[in-house]
Amino acid sequence: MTACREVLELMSEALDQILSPEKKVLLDKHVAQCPECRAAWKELQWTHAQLKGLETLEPPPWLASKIMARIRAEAQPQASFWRRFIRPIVMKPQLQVASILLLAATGFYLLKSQRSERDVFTEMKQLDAPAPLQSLPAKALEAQDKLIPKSRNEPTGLGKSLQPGTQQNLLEASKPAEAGFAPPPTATPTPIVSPNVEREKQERDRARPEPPAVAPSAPSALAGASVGAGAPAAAESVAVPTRQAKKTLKREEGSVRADSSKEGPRGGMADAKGQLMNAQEQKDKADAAIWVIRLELRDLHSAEAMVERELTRAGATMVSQREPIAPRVLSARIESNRLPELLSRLARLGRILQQPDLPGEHPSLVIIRISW
Amino acid sequence: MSVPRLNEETDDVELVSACRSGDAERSEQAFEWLVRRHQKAMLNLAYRVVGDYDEACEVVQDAFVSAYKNLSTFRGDARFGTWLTTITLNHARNGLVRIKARRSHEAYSLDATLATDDGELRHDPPSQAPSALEQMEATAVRKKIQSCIQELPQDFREVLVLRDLQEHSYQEIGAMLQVREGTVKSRLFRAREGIKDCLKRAMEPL
Repeated sequence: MTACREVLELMSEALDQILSPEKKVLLDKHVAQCPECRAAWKELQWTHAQLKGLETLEPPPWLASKIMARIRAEAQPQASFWRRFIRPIVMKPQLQVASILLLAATGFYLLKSQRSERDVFTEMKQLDAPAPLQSLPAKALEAQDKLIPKSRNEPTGLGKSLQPGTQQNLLEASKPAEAGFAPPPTATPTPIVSPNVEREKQERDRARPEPPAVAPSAPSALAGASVGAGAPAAAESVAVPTRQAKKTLKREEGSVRADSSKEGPRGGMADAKGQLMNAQEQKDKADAAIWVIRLELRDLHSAEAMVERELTRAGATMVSQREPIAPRVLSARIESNRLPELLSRLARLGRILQQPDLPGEHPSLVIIRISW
Repeated sequence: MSVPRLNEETDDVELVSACRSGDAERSEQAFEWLVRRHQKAMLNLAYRVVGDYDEACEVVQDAFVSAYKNLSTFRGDARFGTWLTTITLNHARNGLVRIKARRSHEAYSLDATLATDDGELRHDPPSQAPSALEQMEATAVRKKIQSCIQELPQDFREVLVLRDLQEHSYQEIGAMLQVREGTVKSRLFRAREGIKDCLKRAMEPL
């Protein structure tokens, strides 16, 4: 019904008392005549009254304070990037200190690891191509260079430079190689070197000049040269004088100090130079007199000491170890007329597998190489 | 000339002027008076629109902070309360979006909305027994009215709250919502009809 629809729309304005007088009259007249509109008018009035009567909520007591706190916080100027990120770090010295210490420790550790790697690399290089002493004479250096083993079978070993020094040092240095390559000690010690290796060694000995016995002060550069396993196979390595040899030299010549490790490097090098000059002279004299003696010993652990002792008793000098790491070869200088005495002494230690044939005419001083 | 002391009797005009004085301390003090004066009305407005008390508190905070930041835009041609209501209403709409987003994973409400699929309000014919509404208990009515308000479409709901609860004039409502007065009247009529019909359905026997 059109009239009812129009009247219904007037009811909302009537609630707000904004109807014009004419429309108010129209509404009242229609409501009086129309029961449905009358009911609707009553319902609307009731609903409106309920809306008006809705309770009002109270704000929480913290609302105003929180609003003002937010306003004050937003009113403060925002800290710059530097103040937000750098200043907190400045304000925490403990954190700074801890960071610095951590960085320092990390740097130290890295540097240390690099140095150790470099040292190992340097030593490895020295093993392959040992640098001779600068103060050594050219001929001695050349002879020394020729001693560097080229065989593949010779492991590079520890690469630690050995000071011409104590027998103990040599024994200690020899332990890894011994453990790696030496056969375990048995009741009947077997020959260490194979015939083929020994034959090759003899051929090399004949082809190349023997190096002089190095002075006891000849330092680490020589000792740091090739090291090898298996005594005879390493016969070409550089000789390292033992302590006994140093004492002998000191007693004989009276000018060489026993403990070169405590000497200054210059003093040691000067002595080494002098000794090498003498050694070179002797080498020239005993150019072809390198006599090889092979032994079969029972006690391998103390074999070196025993052989060295007998050499000393037989008047041998410049007893040197052919290989710092695998001391199964000793070389020495001895008067040829005392060779029989030496052989008899060595026979008491074990069985002589090979001994030189003593020629009729021979130089007074010869170089012997004893292996076991 | 001495600066007048601010208190609860200072009118909104002076308080707004004090907020713009440039003195930070005086500005904050004046605005705090404005907050304490209008926070209740704004809270009720926000609550009736969003239907959630906690959300309404957030809406009010946001509204006042916005008002403080934008005090320079208040021209003074309308009452401060009216200007603040507009700001609160805008933030209440944002609050509704947040609520809808939170409730999007909730179960679909079983409460039937007052709007039909075509967007029209359901119109129930007048009851032959108008006293049925009157038979509802007062507390039950209050609870039901709030849910009925929430069921209204947003446009209708805003007009209803501004007029019947906030007692703003048609003109002010038109200015706040940026609609003509005729539109305000029409929406208000349909909102009231919707509440009425909603309450009647609540009384209908199952």
